[in-house]
Amino acid sequence: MSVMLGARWDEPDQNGRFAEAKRRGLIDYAEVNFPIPFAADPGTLDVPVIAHTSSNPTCSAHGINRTVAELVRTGASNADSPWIGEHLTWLGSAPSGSLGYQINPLFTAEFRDIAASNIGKLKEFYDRPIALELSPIYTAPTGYESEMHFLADVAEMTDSSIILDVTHWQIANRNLNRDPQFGLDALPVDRIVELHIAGMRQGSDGFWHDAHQLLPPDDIYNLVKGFARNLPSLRAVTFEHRGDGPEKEFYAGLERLRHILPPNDV
Amino acid sequence: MTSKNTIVGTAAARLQSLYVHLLFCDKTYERYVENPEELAKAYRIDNDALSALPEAAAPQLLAERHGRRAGVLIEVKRVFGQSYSMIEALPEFTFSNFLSSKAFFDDASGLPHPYGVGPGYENASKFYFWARENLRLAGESRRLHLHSMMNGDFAANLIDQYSKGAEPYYRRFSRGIYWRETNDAALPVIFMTPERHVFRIADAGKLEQVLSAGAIDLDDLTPEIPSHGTNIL
Repeated sequence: MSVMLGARWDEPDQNGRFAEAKRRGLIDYAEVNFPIPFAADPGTLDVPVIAHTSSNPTCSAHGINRTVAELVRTGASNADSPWIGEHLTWLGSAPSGSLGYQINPLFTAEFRDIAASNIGKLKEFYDRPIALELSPIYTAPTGYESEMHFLADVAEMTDSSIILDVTHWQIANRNLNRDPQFGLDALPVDRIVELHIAGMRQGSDGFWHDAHQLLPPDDIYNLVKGFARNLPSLRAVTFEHRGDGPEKEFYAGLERLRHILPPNDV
Repeated sequence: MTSKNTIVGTAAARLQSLYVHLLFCDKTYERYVENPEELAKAYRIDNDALSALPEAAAPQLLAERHGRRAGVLIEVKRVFGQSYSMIEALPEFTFSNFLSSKAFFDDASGLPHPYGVGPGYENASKFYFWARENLRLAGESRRLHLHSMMNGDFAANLIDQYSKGAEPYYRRFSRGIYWRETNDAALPVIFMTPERHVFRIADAGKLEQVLSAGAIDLDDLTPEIPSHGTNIL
């Protein structure tokens, strides 16, 4: 199976750099993070679109806002996205989703079952495959061996694919003082269809954080190289770089990934 | 702070609410440190469920709390760029009070997200309404400058969202925004045009022109109440 290279798109301010990346042969698709600004049309990017969202609280015991799910469904449908990326998250504690920040659920059997139920309903609502992703982890799971085991179980229970966010995974392992390879063997590798990669930074308190304005460190690229060879179902690698991040670094990150994922693979 | 609407629902929903409050709210965290059983009782969850929560002193929890609170502050400062440092200097103000408020956790305390996500997903408007209610900016003459600066930041943000093509709610700001300089007088008003030029209007005739053009009164702007009847579950 060929592996495509793409980049995350959030708003029209990024259109210029996407057009240039396409001209240079650096992107095969755009991963659009729905919902998007009302006036925006990712169709103008003139590349295939993979739908993603971080706005549905898939693990929430308070439910999922139908309005948000409809916006995602419409976007995915218009783009004929092969799957919809969803985060295993809470977002808040109100029926609408609230707060808007990615908040990891408590990793317990109870919230695994809630997540499985929510995602089952979302899949039915979307009538489209779902791929599940974890956020960076700071606090150790209390009711599960690890968040990777939690992800694996929810993916199996809902017959969902997995987005392995390599950066989030490495941040979690650093923050929880685990081996860099920890947790990979918990995942059903044949369910991993996509990788996310981005930069990361260490805070003054020693903990590591996602940093989409930075380039990924070398070890992240090395992991991607191995995954591109060894993951049997891998279809897409998405570079996440903020629209207000340095434009040269956007191309530099993609160029380095393009060496790993040559265009003739597509 | 434990608000009534956060402790309803299933035990799992209440546990979720407790943990979310724990991440942002100092008052909840202090209660968790001092007497977790009492906190569990307030949320009507079994003491056994407390084992699902991280240790209060765990460095990872402290780091996550710090990061999450900083994230909200960044969002607020992005909108209130000119006025936040002045707000911060008010003796009765702490950002922690906002993060512990019902307004912060309540999805009915803000405006719709500009992308149409719905109420509750953005927190700058929650901060505005909370500050307006709690800091009495327009009621004291020594705070009129801050009142004007904060309104100016917020009005500029609302117009900016409209001009970027935000969801239909924001179209109402297409004719500009005005607010009274003080609470106790209809004039003068400060008027921000759609191009974000700012005028002080002390003349009733000129104010009538602004009103007839369809400018929005910021003093009358209130949070949008979300519909809870559309939950996908």
